[in-house]
Amino acid sequence: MAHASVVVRAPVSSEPQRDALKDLDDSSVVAAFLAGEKRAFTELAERYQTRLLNFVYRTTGDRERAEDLVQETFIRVYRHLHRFDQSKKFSTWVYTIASNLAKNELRNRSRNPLVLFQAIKKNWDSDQRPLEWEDNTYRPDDLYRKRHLKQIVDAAVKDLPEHHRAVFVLREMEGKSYEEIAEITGCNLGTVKSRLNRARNNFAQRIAPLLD
Amino acid sequence: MLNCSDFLEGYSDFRDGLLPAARYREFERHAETCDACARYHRVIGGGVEAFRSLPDVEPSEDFEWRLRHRLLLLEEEQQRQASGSGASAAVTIGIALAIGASAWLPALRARQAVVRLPPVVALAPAERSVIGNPFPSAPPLPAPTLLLPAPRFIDEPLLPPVSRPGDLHLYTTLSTYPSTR
Repeated sequence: MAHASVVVRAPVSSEPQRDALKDLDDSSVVAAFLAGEKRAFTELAERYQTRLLNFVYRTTGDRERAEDLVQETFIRVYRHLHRFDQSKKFSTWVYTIASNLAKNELRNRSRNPLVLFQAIKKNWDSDQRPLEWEDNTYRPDDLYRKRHLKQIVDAAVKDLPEHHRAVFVLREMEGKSYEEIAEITGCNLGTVKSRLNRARNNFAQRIAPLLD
Repeated sequence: MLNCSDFLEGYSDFRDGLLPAARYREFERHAETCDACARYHRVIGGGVEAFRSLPDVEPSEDFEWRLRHRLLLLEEEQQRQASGSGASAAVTIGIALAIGASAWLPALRARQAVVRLPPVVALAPAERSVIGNPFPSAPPLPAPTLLLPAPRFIDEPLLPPVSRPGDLHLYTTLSTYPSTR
């Protein structure tokens, strides 16, 4: 195929230009790409690929699929960047695309009626049950805690209902503001606050036995 | 006075520093005096810290290569579409010009034939009638009016009409369909 031979790296002489792009903020890199600087897109991809991969992986729980979805995110960015409103934050836009793809992925997975029923029940329970906190007196020893804490934390986040999980990951891992989370997830601020509070409560219940 | 339920309800605002100063101090005071809520605060803090310290998932080695490859295919497709649409527009214009030319060509080439016709003779109409009756021997037709009785429809297939003036005959034909037997 002709395509295999055309994947080439930028020539060495362009490295200073790449370095110059690294110093620019996102909006300037976007502007450079729209002005015809093709390397600017590579710069954007390098900036966001790991962050997006982690976000999508934490949201979907599937490493391989997460990589495919991040690739698809970049393809969509490349296709539609000329339509991006440059007065807004590029990172919010790119996270919105990735979040929608992750949401679709989870929706497709829940096409099975049993899975769908379980997901709806889990979501309903998590949204409706009163917030509660029981002071568990059990304290694990240090060795056990160190060995298992990360595993339990990872499992606790994966076990959150998906609409809580996305909000929790965006806030706690990505450090997004409530407004950004609202834009990315397409919810209003009140819903974001409520979901985040419930996600934290749920998370705390699960990991409490391992923490002092 | 803040109770534990209020603390849980407003915890996210407290943790994210979204409370007004006075309300924030109430939350702090409650956490200082209530062991359960203090622990809740510690557990979430510690849990989030552990969550953030989870190792990052790194893109696979061929991630960038695959992305470049897909972008290249996309670019090629876009270029093909752009050149394809340009070529098809040119072809469309060419076809339109050809059709236009073929329609106009005979008109431009053909010489007009000159035909001599016999002279037309017109007779002056009769003096009494402006329009004139085309059948002068037939009795004059009654003028159509809505005041006359409605015409009758007589269903008399294949019979000679026995009619009264003003009857309207409707003839029907019975078709014989070929037998399917």
